[in-house]
Amino acid sequence: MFVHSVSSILKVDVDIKMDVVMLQRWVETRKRMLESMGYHVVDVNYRYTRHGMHFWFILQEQLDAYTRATLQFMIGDDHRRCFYNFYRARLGVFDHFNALFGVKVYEQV
Amino acid sequence: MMTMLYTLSFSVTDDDTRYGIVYFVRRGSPYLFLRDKRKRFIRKLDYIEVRAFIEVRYSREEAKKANPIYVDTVAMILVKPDDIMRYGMEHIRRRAMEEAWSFHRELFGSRIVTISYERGWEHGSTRKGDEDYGEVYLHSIWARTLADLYEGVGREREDVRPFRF
Repeated sequence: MFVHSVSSILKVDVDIKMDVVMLQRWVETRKRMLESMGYHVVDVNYRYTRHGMHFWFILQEQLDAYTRATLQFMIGDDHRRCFYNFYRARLGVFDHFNALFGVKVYEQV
Repeated sequence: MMTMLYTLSFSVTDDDTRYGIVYFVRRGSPYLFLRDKRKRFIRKLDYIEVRAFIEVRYSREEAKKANPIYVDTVAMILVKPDDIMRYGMEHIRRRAMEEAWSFHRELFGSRIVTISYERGWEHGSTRKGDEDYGEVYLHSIWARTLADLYEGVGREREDVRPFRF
């Protein structure tokens, strides 16, 4: 038994660290965007990372991979990540590779 | 065989929901629990899924010269509280990454492998792979050109194999 299904969660990577005021506004505008499209946001979680922030938008609705990839793009996910996510969704492997790393390896190429 | 017992408690983020995964030992028995952002226990976890990711990265110069190939490889393993107690989280992550490298090397030649890098690890309370406990789920996808990416005609290979820590 799982609390939330993977198909109801949007993962968003933002390369900016926001202060409290901006964070509240940003989350509120994302919620309104999602609600204006007919989705219900149950919870929003976030964490600070080395270069920015990670967000989890938990929706009431269960969505297919391509819709989630599209919504992630619309609410401001990293565009490079979105580019690959659309590809992953088309291949049917979106959930396996739509990752926000808890432990990330930082290496200079 | 490694016999060191790790008894420290720790927490990691559940990278599927951003809730917390808490590990602790009580009366000699290890436990994994999912905890919400108010630190309330939601439920006991029988296992968590540790995922190790590898990708190919080109330098800007190389990307301009060559036609960059896009590659993602992941290894997923199920981890029980006993495994964390016996082997430690660091060893478990390392083993998952070793499995990912081994699969990656089977699929690609040395030219690709030398420009492949470890991206990181996810710890999930949900199960995304098709593995059972004692197995590793391996998945790799790749595409040769940008046109392939847009068309979604990249290639993939997946496998489930026996796994030991």
